[in-house]
Amino acid sequence: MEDPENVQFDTVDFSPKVTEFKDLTDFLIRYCVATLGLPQTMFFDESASNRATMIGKIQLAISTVINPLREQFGRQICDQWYQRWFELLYKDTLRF
Amino acid sequence: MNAFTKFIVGTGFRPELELINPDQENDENNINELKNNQEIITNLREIDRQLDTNMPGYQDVSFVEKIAALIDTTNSFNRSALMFTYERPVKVNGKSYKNIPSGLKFAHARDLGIIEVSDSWRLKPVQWRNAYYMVPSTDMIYLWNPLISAKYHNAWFYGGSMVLPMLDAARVIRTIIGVDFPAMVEATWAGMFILTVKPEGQNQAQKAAEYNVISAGLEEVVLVF
Repeated sequence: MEDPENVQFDTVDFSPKVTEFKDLTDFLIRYCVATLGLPQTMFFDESASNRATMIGKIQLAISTVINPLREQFGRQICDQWYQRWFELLYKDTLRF
Repeated sequence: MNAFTKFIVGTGFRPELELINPDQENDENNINELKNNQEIITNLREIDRQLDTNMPGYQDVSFVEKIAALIDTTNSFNRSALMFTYERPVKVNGKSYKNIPSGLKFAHARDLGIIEVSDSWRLKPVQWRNAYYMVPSTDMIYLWNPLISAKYHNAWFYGGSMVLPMLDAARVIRTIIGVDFPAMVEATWAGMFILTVKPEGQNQAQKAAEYNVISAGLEEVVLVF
């Protein structure tokens, strides 16, 4: 048996940090969603938002994230595909 | 006149026309000009249609699906490309065009190597599958994501991923859900406990006696749930 004179008593917290881990998971998921530029209202605060604010957030995401991507990819695809063949097909008839 | 690609929600995308120098005073002229040249759109879509047509002995994937895969891969892995193949002549209005490709070979980002960029920021050839000779950028649709890539010279053309920045966060989430939460559940459910004793005896003999009394009183039990 351990010598009682040498025993030290410390308070050890063995209760699992469920809340902390839940908050951490919540934060990391928000980080993932923010990385994609998606509106977080679709994932988290449906009950907190009313219809108008939710539509506003979705429209904001479309105008600030999705549309610039669409325009950028659209321009790249067009420059390297449609515009090329357009200029090839109509090189004699149209001025560019 | 120029062509541009317009994305339409739900139906994909289609080419559209735009005027380089529109009539600023009379919009009617602009509308008529575009209306009278809709044949251009028909001809451009005819090229897409011929790419959708199966070659004998092959089951092809549609042009729209290939473009969708191109965009998906670019968003995930920085960049990707559709390289042109010329197996058969493409015909538009009865005329054959040997410069228009009849097939598109998908090049994943993992197969794309170094690129060469001119001083004026124009993409030149692209290395593919570690080959010594590089594929000219005029022989492919090379897609990259310039909105989130480093804005200096050739790094710009390597693009940026929308998914890779979240990789570490996703790994942590997986560990929390797959390892930490199950461990918590087991520990909580099993009722893990620790018995601590603070002796009240004044000397070592009295403290030892207390321990002996307590330890003698402990019984081995089996918990049945």
